[in-house]
Amino acid sequence: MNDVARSVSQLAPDQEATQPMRQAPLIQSAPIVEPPPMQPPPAKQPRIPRKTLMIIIGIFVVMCVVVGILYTRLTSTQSEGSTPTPTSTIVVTPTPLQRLSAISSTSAFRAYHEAVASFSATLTSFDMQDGGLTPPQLELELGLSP
Amino acid sequence: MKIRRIAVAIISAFLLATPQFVYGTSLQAYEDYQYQFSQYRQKLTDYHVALTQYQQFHSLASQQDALDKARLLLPQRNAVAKTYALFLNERLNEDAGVEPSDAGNYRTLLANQVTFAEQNTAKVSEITSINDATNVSNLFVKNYNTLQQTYRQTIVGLQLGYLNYFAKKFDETAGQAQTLITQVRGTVTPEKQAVLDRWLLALTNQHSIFAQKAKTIQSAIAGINGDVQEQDRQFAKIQTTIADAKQDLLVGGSYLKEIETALQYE
Repeated sequence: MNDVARSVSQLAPDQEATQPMRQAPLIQSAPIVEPPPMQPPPAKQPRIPRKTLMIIIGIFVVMCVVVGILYTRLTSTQSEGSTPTPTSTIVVTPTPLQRLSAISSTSAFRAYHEAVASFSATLTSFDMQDGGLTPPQLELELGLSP
Repeated sequence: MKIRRIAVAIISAFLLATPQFVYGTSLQAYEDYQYQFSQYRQKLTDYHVALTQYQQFHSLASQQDALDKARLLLPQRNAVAKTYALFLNERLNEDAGVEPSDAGNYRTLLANQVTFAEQNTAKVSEITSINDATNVSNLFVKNYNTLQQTYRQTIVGLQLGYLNYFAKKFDETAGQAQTLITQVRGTVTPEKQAVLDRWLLALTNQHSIFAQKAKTIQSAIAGINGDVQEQDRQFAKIQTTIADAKQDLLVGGSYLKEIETALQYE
C-alpha cells in the first residue's frame, strides 16, 4: 500500500508541471503496479514406476550373473580331469531257489558235515611251528685256563 | 533229616575222591624245562662275572670263585639239555600221528641224551681244578652236535606226525564223501554226477600231492646232521616243506566242503 502511495506522489509533480490546474484526478483505487509475473512451475520430469524399476534391476542382475558365468567358463583354464574309469557293473542275478536234496537230511550227511567243519577248523588253527619246538642254544666254551 | 545228612556226606565223599585230571604232561615238562633254562641263564651270568674277575686279577680267591661258579653252571647246563629231551619225549607220547617204530627210535635217541646229561652231571662232583672243569665241559661240547641233531630230528618227526594225523582225518572224511556220492548215484542228473566224480578225483590227487611231500619230509629227517649251523639250514628247509604240506591238506579240506555243498542241494 505504501508502494502505491509513493508512486502516486512521484507522479504528481510531473503532471502539475505539464498540465494546468485541473480537477483532481480520480484516485484509482486499483493498484497501478502490476504484480510480479508468476514463475512458471518447473516442468515435471516423467517418473518411472517403482515396479518397473525393480524389474529392470532384476533383469540387470540376472544378466550380470549370466555374463559372469560365461566369462568364467571361457577364461578358466581347462584342467584335464582324471580319466573316468567305468566301475564294474555288479550284475545282480536272482539267486535261484535251491531245494535241499533228500540225502541232506540223513544222519550220514550230518556226520559228514561235522567232520568237514572239524577238519578245516582244527587244521587251520593248528600251529606247526609252535614255540615249544625250538631247541635250546647253550653256551659251550667255559673260557677257563689256569 | 538224617537221610539228608547221609546223602550230603556220601556226595561230598564222592566229589573229594574223584581224581583231579592233570592237563597235559607235556605242558608240565615244558614248564620244568623253562624253569631250568631260567636257572641256567642266571648261573651263566654269575659264572661270567666270576670269570671276568679271575681273568682280571688271577688271584687264588677269584680262581676259586670261578671254579665254584663253573661247578654250578655245568650241571645246570645238563639239566636244560635233559629237561628239553624229556619234554620232547612227552610230546611223542601225545602225538597220535607218529609211526610207532619212528617214535621208538626217537625215544631211544632222547633217552641216550638224558643218560649222557646225567653222567656228565655226575662227573661235576669230581671237579677239583680248572682242568677238571674244562674236561667235563669238553665232554658236553663233543656231544653237543649229536644232542642238537636228536632234538631237531625229533621235532621234525613230531611235525610229520601232526601232518599224518590230519592226513588220516582227511582220508576218513574223504571216505565218508565217497560213501555219500555212491548213495546218490542214479538219483541225480548225469551232469551233477559228473561234477561229484570230478571232486572225488580232485580229492585223490590232493592226497597224492600231500603224500609226496610227507615222503620228502620223512627222507629229509635223516639228513639233519653236521654242525649246528648246517643243521639249522636243513631244518629251515624242511619247515618250508612242512608248511606246504599243511597247505595241501587245507586245499583238500576245501574240496571236501565243495562236495558237501554239491550233495546238500538238488
